[in-house]
Amino acid sequence: MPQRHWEDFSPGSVSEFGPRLVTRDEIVEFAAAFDPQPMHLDEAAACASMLGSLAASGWHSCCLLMRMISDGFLGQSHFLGAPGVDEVCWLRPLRPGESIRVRATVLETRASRSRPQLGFVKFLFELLDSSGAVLMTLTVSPMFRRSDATSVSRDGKPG
Amino acid sequence: MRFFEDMCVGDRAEIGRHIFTVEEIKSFAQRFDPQPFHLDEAAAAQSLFGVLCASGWHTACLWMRLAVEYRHREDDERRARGEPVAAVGVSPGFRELRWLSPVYPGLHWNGKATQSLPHKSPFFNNSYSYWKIGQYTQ
Repeated sequence: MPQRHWEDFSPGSVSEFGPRLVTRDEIVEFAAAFDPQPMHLDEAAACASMLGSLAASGWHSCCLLMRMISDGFLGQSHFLGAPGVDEVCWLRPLRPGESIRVRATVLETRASRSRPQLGFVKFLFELLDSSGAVLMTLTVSPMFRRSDATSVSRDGKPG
Repeated sequence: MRFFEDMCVGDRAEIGRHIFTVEEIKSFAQRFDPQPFHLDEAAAAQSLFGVLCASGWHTACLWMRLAVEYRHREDDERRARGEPVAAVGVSPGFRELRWLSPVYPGLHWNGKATQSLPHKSPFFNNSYSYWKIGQYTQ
């Protein structure tokens, strides 16, 4: 299958990736490594917190989404990284045993002014649970190589 | 954790430091962000970054760990002084995470946190949130 370039993304197009099962063990393991707050590590502490019961770190949700879109389409695209993230909203907790999906909507595409070899694609990514409820939204503008580019510059700057 | 009333706009703290190794950069990328420029030196040399560098999500997650560990140390100190410790809520999200320069292996990165404007929580009554501005400096 040919690799997707910047020109291959159209505003309004929607795609879905997953499902992926999230286990209690991986939630606790991630939290121990990156977000060791008791509410992500221990049921009793989680019950006493705003979460009400054990739930994944919001950063874990971001990382799971990144992996799902990498497998879903970034790995088959001329993806060049992203300069940052516009917005993340953690709307509902991600609980152990949940089966998650990602819905990707292209919001807009924009050619880079300073780098003619690449363009930005602004996405709304929604992390969904098995009932279709939105757990998290992530708005981000990754960079993709343009089809007419001969090479990408290597000046060490991602933006 | 300090209480809401104890926090002032502009408060700054050095929250910790971390050295990213090649092994942990690749291991994180393998699990969550399997792009060639985070996994393979030769592929990274051909990328925008020029050299193997950490996933931006990896740096964000490490910032979170430094922030949590800093808060735990702060709590221990408060308890040792006999002062009350505030309960921690949850965060509704964040805006404008900027990856300003690539995080290459082997460098020391210092995490910083700056208190910015507290605001009324849109999700919980009688609860306030505040934005933390995180920054790594080499």
